[in-house]
Amino acid sequence: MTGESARANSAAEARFRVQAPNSAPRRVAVVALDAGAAALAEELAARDWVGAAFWHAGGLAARGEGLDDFLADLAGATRRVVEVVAASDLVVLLAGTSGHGAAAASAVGAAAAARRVMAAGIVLAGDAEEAELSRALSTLRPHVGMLVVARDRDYAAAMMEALRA
Amino acid sequence: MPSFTMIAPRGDHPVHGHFWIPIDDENCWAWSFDYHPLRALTPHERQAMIDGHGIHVTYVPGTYRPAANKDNDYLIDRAAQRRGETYSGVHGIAMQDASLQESMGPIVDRRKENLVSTDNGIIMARHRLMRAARALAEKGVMPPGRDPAHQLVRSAAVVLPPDQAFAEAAREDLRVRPGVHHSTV
Repeated sequence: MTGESARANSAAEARFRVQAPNSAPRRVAVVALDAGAAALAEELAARDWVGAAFWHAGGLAARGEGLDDFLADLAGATRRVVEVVAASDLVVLLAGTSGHGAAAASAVGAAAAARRVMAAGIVLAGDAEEAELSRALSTLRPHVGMLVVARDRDYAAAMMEALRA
Repeated sequence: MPSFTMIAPRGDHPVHGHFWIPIDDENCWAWSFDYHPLRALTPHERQAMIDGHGIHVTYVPGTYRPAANKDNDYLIDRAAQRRGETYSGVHGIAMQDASLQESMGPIVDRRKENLVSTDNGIIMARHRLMRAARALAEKGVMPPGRDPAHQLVRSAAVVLPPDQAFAEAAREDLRVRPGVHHSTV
């Protein structure tokens, strides 16, 4: 006699499985911290996403005035950091290896921590040397719960797709 | 390519892991291993493997099929669950893992998954597999990891300061060093 587990595994039974995704699409705010990351953010924004929004932190990084600072979207419109974070399920900080953007990472990370929104970091490592990479990682590490070194430029898109952004 | 697992060691215990070897589109062999880099396994350690402890299982006699399998519902013990002796009702971590993996069915629609950002290890492994598969199919580029020099890796258990990148700070711990004990806590 076939066991219950074996039956449940069969193609005939598989048609009874729930076919819908098991969670709602996530609202993901991608914040580019430096020029290299901003270029990738613009490439990503050209693709189709369910709930992704893309922001520059250049102005915030220059002023470094804390949570009242603003992020700019790709069209130049600004919004307060706290509002961007509050409207998101996940914040992805995107950084090159310039080491710039520490103030912005701090502000966004603090806002995310205050609202219990997960903050993840992606460092676009390319062919960077270890010292350069370490500096970039050190910039982000205190402010994110998950930090990824992406040697492949297309990893950010793969991660966002996997997270159903 | 990432089709192997090697669990981080603890104390002087042997290192364990699995090889996941595809044999067709819907099946793979899962080989399980124990080894110690400096010594032969003790009779007690070998017997524990034979008895199905740790990551190992007992088998249908004369076969490589686990004694607990989908045709007997993994020998799930509902009474033990009710008594609070076991959460899953399936004995041993090996079959607890295998029962979940196998009962997903032979091919799973990953679009229905609920991954989160802390699943980046999974996302990264799939990304590398897909890139390698596409490179092979489209450009004839052979997948990485075939050079024996690249296979000289170890799992390690180390505690690092929070400001250090593990790939750099634990670089030596993660490499095979003949005659050197594995890094463990």
